[in-house]
Amino acid sequence: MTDLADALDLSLEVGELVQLSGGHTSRTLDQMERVARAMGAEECHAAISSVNVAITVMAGPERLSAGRHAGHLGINFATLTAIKRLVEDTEAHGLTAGQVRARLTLIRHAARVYPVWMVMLALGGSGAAFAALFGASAGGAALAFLGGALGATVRHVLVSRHQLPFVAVTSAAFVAALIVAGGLTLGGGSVASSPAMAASTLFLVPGVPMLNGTADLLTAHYLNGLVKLAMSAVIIGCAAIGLAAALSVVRVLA
Amino acid sequence: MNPWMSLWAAVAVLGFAMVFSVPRRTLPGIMALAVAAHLLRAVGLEQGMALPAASLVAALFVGVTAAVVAPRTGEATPIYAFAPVIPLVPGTAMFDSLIGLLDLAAGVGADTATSVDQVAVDATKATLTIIALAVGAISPTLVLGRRIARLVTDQGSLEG
Repeated sequence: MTDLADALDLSLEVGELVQLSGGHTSRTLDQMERVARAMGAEECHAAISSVNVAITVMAGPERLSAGRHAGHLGINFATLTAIKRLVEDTEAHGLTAGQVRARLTLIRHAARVYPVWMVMLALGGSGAAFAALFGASAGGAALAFLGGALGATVRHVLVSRHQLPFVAVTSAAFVAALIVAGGLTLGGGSVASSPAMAASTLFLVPGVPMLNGTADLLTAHYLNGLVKLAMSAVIIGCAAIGLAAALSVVRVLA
Repeated sequence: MNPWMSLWAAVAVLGFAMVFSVPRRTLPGIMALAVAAHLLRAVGLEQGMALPAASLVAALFVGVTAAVVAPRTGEATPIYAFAPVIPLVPGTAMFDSLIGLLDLAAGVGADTATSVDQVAVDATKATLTIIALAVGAISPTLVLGRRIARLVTDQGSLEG
């Protein structure tokens, strides 16, 4: 592989990983172009869409272009940090293509930062904490904990079985809200004005796509920004549908 | 205002920080930032600020802190900028607007005009607050990120 081909290949690899890990468009562009330059490209132009990364690199008379599919907008900030450090090391210490490729392989295959069970419990804790912040009683917070943890588990199971996001989110919201509303009703409490109900589906808040969408709009990447905000709107809408369905079921049964 | 309530923000942010797969070493900083942001918003509300304005101030605090702390610690800025604003999401206003909509659809409630007004107020409050959180958390990095990072790393190298 020539030096320029390495620059092309490694910058695409970096772009794909940043995109898959929750980097906004400016960050992805920046990291791709910095790696390409550090690997010997004299000029480069990266382009990012919501599902693809592409770059053209130039050195002397040679010019190479390629693209790669990076469709799933995931979240892994530990990967973002690892890539940031790799880019800085490549610029500062002149890493070889082999060294960069080896570190990228390690980053790509890094183990989960937190075990799944711990994340599910922590999301339950988030639900309980939201309920407490909104003024819920200890019983309400306990229900929000249970609803959050079980709802998050439902979402995790459905996503890992490749269900569409609207199925996973609606089902998770339904389960979480049903547990909280059912518990409140059995306890003789009011569902419609309960802080625990307000907290029950907040574990589904699409924080990263919402913030990345805003970042894209503010940096004039309007199309990518709108895609991320549309994704956030779908998630919020589905959570609302799941919550409304659970409330309706409890109202009918009560 | 009960400042101790803001400690719940540390628990609220923990689950999201784990979903975002932030490095373990950053968790204490993220939790502290979430508590500080929640406290700052509570003080703003106490002083009579509207919810979106108080949330904007708190999110700007998070964004500026992230822009300063992340380069100094070698972490990606979103680690400190994103998770700590999640506990500021206006869950109650979002829920109230949804309940209001459902009641309107079901014909519950005596005065439809008042119900529509209330739904509009809650939905506007929730939407503006979410926009304020997003703009506040992200804009410091976009506007000042490079300059702050250079300043911080230059200071770091001067200090040895």
